[in-house]
Amino acid sequence: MSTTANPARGTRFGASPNRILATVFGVVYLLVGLIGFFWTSGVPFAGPGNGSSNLILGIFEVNPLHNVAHLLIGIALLIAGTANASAAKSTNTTIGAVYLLLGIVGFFLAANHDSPLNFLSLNTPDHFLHLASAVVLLAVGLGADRRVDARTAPVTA
Amino acid sequence: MATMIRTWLGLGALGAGLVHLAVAAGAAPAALALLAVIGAAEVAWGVTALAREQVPVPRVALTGAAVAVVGVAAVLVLRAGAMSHMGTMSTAGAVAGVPAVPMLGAALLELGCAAALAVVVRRGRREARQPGVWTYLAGVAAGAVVVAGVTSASLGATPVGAVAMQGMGH
Repeated sequence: MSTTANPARGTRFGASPNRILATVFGVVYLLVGLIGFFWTSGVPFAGPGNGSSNLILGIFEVNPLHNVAHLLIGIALLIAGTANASAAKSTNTTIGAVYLLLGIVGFFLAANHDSPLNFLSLNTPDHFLHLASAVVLLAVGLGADRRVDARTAPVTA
Repeated sequence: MATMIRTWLGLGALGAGLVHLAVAAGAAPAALALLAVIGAAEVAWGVTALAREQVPVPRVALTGAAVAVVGVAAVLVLRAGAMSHMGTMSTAGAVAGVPAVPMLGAALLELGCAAALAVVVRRGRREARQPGVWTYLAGVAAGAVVVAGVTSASLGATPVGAVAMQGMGH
């Protein structure tokens, strides 16, 4: 994948996998963060819910803190995606690494659903989604727009 | 296609490494050390494969993946005998402290990596056409879904993961 970098404005949006991914994921996470509040009535801000009424689409468990995290991640990705390829690449890699950590560590730390350690009210589909998000963000963040910092060199995935 | 294969290799190795590290967490000391080294090597190799323009040490990685797959197959064959005495695969797996299902999941990912590495080794350093941006993103997403699916299922079948799943109840 080779495109030409614009020294002044960074890589063109349509030619940067990182910018596209950050923007798409940003919009999705922002929407998920917003609509999540429709399912968190009566759920503790930072604790496990009952696991039946606080499920987005009947699948993904959330609590208000989990929604706030989605909102912040969505905003960060959206800003980076609309800014430039370098910002998008860094943000994708960082959030990918954080999600990988959450997907793995969260899976084991939250061994008991009702434990205070499960402060994001995570369930199994959440872990799957976090892991899938992590590997996509990491793969694109590490692998695409590799020469974006050179600014004058072609961008290669 | 070379970029796509390198990306899938990185994802596959990352997934297999995570499963091996999770299995190591609940294994006996001897198996723990071996699995932790294998898992850490796979994660490191996977990240390197994603971050570099060429697949790192493809021949060594192909040999390692093939040995790992054969090793898991040998362990499962040995356990088949134990199963007839002990009833279930999970019980037989627990005998050695290394659960069979997660190892199968990791072996599946390694098998995929071995097949892709064979293609890489056969092609050598020949230049290949790069995929378009959308093809690349679709390929990454497809690979991520497969790897996350196998990895999540495998993690859920590790001793520690099984406790986590039981505790969550859904």
